[in-house]
Amino acid sequence: MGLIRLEGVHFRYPRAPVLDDLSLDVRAGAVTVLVGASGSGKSTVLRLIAGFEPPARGRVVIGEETVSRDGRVLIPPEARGVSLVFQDLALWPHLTARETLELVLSREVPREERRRRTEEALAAVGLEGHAEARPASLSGGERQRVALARAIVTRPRILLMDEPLANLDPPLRRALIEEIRQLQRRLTLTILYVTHNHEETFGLGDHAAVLRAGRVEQVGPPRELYERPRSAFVASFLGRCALVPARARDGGLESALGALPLPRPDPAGRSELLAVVRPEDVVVGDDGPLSGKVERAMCLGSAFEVELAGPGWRLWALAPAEPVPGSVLRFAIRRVVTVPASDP
Amino acid sequence: MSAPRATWRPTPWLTGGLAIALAAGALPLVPLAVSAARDVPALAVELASPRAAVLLLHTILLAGLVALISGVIGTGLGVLIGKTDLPLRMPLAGVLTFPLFLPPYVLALGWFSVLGSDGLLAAALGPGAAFRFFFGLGGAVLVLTTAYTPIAAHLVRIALRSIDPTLEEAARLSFRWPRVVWRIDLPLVRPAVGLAILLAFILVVGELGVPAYVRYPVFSTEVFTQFAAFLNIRAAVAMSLPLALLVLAGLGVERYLLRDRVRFSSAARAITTATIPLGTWRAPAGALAWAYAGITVILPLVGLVVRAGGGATYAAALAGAGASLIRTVWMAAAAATTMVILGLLVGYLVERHRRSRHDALDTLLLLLFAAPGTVLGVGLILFWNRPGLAWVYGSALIIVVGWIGHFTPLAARVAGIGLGSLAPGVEEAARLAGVRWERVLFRVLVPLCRPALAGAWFLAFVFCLRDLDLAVTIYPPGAETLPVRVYTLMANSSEAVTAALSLVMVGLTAVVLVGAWIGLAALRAGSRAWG
Repeated sequence: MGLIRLEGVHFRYPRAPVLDDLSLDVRAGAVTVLVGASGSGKSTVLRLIAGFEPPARGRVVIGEETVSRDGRVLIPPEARGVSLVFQDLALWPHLTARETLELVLSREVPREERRRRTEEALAAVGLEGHAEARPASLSGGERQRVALARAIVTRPRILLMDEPLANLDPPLRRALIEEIRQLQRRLTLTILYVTHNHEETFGLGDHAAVLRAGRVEQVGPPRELYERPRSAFVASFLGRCALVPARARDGGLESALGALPLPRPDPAGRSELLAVVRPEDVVVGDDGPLSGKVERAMCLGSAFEVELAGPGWRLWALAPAEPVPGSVLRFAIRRVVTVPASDP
Repeated sequence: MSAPRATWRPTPWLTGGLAIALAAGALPLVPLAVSAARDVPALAVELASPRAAVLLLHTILLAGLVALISGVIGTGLGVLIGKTDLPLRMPLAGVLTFPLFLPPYVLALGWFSVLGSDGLLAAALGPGAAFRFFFGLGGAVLVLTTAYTPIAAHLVRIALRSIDPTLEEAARLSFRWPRVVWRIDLPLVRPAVGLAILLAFILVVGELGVPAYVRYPVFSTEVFTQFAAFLNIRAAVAMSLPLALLVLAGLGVERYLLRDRVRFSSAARAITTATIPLGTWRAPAGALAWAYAGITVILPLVGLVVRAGGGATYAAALAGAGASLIRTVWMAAAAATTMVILGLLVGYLVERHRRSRHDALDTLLLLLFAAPGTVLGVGLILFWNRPGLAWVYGSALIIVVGWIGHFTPLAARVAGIGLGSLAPGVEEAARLAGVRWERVLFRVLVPLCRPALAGAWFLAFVFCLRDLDLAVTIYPPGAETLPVRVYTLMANSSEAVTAALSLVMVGLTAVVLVGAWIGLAALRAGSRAWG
């Protein structure tokens, strides 16, 4: 059973429903990444867990305690043992890093203990030298670390993170992903991390939950979701892929591309499927059994992503050299997975 | 290929607008400065007198007390109205704001009809209940605090709504609302509180009507007395100097301590701010806030109604007002319309100009708005009282010119806020397409800024309507405004008639404010329809 449970949760803003009968378990001591398109309800899930909003229907449980239920906040935010790193960090501009951390520590914590824990938290995020700095005088990465220190200094049961690295450049983001990961392991934190960035999803998540229109579409380890998506939405949300209509027959797949290997029978016995073909599973080479016309090619740095098309299909492949648009490229498909042709 | 014809030439329009605004407001200060510079020894004698020291003490004491008390009370009300679920808080905000739009001496009349020797309080509790200290510092502080508390309440309310909600949410994860307000919200709105205190200080320094009514001598009453009663220009100029210096000191504080620290975000963001549930405190807090509004706003107006008596008094009052009622409305409307046009041009200039010039111009405009009406009035007379200019000096035009000089900076500030909220791209796209600047102004900027421009018009109109200090210093015979008429009637008419005429003024202001509210709501709805 998870440390956080959302059970049959409904929530709507005045103009639109956001969450629609959403249920989710967040495991203790692990990083669960919540991914989904903009407007799918990811940040709303965090706000419900933090206690800023109650669910219109359903309940939110932390540990053994129901903290919100059917339009009512039963346990206020400050009593939930939850921290949140906001997307825009929400650092208090009038306070230094030290003052910020000391402020969030309860007044019941003795002064000396408060000081010690502040120093520890600053050290944990590598900010010992910036204790007396206000946000305006810190760099983007340093502010991020102050926000992280503020979130962990209270030793929360749960750390919620709302796209905290969204505004950072790729190298800094990569470095901070690693730091968050190490911090989580060292402190055995339970983290619920909202993002729509693939690097953060796969780099951080022990588990991932894909949200679509206010419902959880699939939950599981990120790699498993990538390799065995349950729907076309999950398959295409977690990485570039082609969805080729296919029919299961005699233990194989018939498609516009020709016969393809069927990895495993559809659990529901459906025959109308979509073959998910990822660029890394398309092997470009002169000895390939298939061929397609090069529509366009985009340089990714280390390789070229090539869009290939044929009668009734279109897919992407990775090629080491830039092909000429309009030319024909031979290729083989190493592996496909299937998802239902229509939404379950 | 021939060079494209330049179509982006705002400079003639902008400099023209600025020149007119400055001619109306800043030029009159030049003869004042020249006059002072020519007679330095005599002015020094005047300023070194014990009388000047007493006036200085009185002015600073009055302005300081009102600024501090209104700052403290206004901050509390601003938090209650802006952050909590206090019952009927928006109507409460409306009631509390009303005195700001009335000439403060009308409030003084109202308070006197409550606290005076034959006022409501004495009638209810006996003569001993009359407020013995009404005539003097106590009365002046009481009346002016009532008048200027809304400044702090509104600035704090708006500043609270501009706080990024996540700053509060980050704190709410660790502690309860009272501590969130104390440790996060109040420090963040401190610049707004400072600005409110400063504005109240500057406005009270220039206040004439209330100190004159409660017989508490300050510099502005002295300037008026020397000028209007003794025709002693030199003494009036001398007493203007410390007033101008006090205002300049206040502006210096605004420029160097508060500059860029007061930030108000758009209303769109404000929708997301959290409201503090008062819980069991909701009813007592609501009762307390409404009791404050009832005592400080409604009770003085009730006092005026009681004092005015029956319909015959109102008829006498309207007869006594003569043509001043209608005259005031058209003069204020003409001035406000001119101010919005000039304010749009000047606001554009300030908003779009390079930083250094922006600051200098902004400071100059603020100085014109902050200049005490009596000082500006003396300057206007020194400037316009010349052969061949009697058509200005001897007519209502002198008051309209004075208002334009005094209040255009206010219209410019409001128009500037509207212009500042537009993305630069809306102009740049038209400019790249070769559209003339004037066309962009009228077809793009004015329609997009309609609510701000309408707000500027109403604000300018109301400020003209409530002005006493400037108008009473410069009005020529036969051109007095309604506030001037009420003020002069106080000396030689019955208290009932004065109270009735004050209520006419209150009613006129209420009608204008309700009209403004409806008009602005319609304009905002129209703007929202554009998405």
